Amino acid sequence: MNNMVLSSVSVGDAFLNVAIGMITVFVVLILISFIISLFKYISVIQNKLADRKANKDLVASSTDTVLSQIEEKEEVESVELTDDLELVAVITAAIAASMGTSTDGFVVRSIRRAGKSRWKNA
Amino acid sequence: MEYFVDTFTNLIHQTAFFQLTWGNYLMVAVACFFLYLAIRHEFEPLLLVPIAFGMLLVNLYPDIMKEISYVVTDAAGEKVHLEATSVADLVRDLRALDNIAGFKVEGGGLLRFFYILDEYSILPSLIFLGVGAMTDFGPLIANPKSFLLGAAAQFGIYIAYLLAIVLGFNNEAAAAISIIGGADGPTSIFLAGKLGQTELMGPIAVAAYSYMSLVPIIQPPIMKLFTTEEERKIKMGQLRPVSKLEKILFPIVVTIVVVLILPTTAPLVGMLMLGNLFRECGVVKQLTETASNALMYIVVILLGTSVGASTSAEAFLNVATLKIVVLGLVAFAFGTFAGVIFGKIMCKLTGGKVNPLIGSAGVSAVPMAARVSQKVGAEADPTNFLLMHAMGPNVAGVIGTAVAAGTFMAIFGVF
Repeated sequence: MNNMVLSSVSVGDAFLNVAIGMITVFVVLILISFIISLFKYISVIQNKLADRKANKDLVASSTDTVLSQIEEKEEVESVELTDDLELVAVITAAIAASMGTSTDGFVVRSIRRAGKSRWKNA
Repeated sequence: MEYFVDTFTNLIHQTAFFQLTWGNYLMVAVACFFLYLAIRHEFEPLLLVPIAFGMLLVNLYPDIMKEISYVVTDAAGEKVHLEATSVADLVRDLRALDNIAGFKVEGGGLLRFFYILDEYSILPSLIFLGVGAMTDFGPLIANPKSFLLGAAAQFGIYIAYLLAIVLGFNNEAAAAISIIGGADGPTSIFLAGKLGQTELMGPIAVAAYSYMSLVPIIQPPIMKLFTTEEERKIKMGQLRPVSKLEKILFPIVVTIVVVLILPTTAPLVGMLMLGNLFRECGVVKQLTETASNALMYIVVILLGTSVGASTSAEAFLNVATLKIVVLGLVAFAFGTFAGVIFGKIMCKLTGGKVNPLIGSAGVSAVPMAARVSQKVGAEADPTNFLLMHAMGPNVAGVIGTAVAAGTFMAIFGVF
């Protein structure tokens, strides 16, 4: 074993290496520790931003309610359409055929005319 | 009839009985004992089964670790004899020849090819990738003071280094051996490879992995010896929640800071943090899955068998191995001791808010050392939950050991 030759380093040098090693390990880890300790401000900033966003969302949600009201109105109209039983039957049959199932598994509740359909191009 | 006898005699002489020494048989017995421990007592089976089987194979058929040789032929097809053992010498010798007609690489046992991946530090770095992908650095981000405990537990490394020098190992060998004190198998293999201590790699790896699996036996007595019952009962406050953004920034920031200061740590710290970024960024689930499962286990198979195969009788059964095993234990015990003492200091400075038991988790055997802190804490007070607090120093210890290894490389001017 060629590693078993007597030490080529004096004990004094070895102590120096130990000192350098220990100091480096501590300095590097303390530095990271310090930088990571600043991370706690990230969540503080994030929370502040989230608060601000929440305020904006409040404004946005009020417009949302207007939109949803309009949607509801449309829904009512579409519900009226479902009175057309013939149309419901045809669409139910078409869905069942395309899914390869029977008509028992689902109910057609709402039918709405699609504004721009690719079918028109067909 | 004569032909039959000749063939039969040849066949008999081909069997292992005529090739092996008593040392090989002893190592076969050791390998079988390790297999028994791994399978019957489930003693770190994921590591010990491949290691023990590599040990078994190399001692039955030493050529499974046969070195690769370079063969040069002249115009007449005759082999040109070359003495070179390194690539640099080979290039020099080849330049001096003027009648080369052919060149080929010959031989090389199966496990030698696996072993080359250890020597070039490829497998240890890939293990770090997997460890990163499996580790949650959250507890460390929530309590960055844990880094100090991770640093203190590296003290064992330096004690072992000094003792190794005193015991007559040369500078590089002492450094490679000392890393066992970090209780970190991959880093030990990494540094042994980088410092050119390939002959010691087998004993170092076996000692490091043995002590990693012996953490639950070695640490508790030391922890109990240096702490009081009251200290062990200290309950630590809840850690603050850590946001996703912090977890994503952590691997990037650590890589930049550590690699800027110690570029030599880039393979280990870089891979560790890349694995962690896979995990935390949330957009590369397939990579996280691969790094922490399939790739990790492939690497464990290659690393385990090749480390086991580095324990052929002639390389393993000698005084140096015995010294390494003892030094490893001393290093590990001192690492635990220093961690606990530093934990006590932090306990005093914070007015009793830190349980000193989490200090011992600063050695980097993840997550075993943290579990031991939890267990010893729960023994003193069953309602004491230290696991998450101990994970901080534990994962800091992995970074600490990698930094210690990088510092040795910088001291010796190795890249």
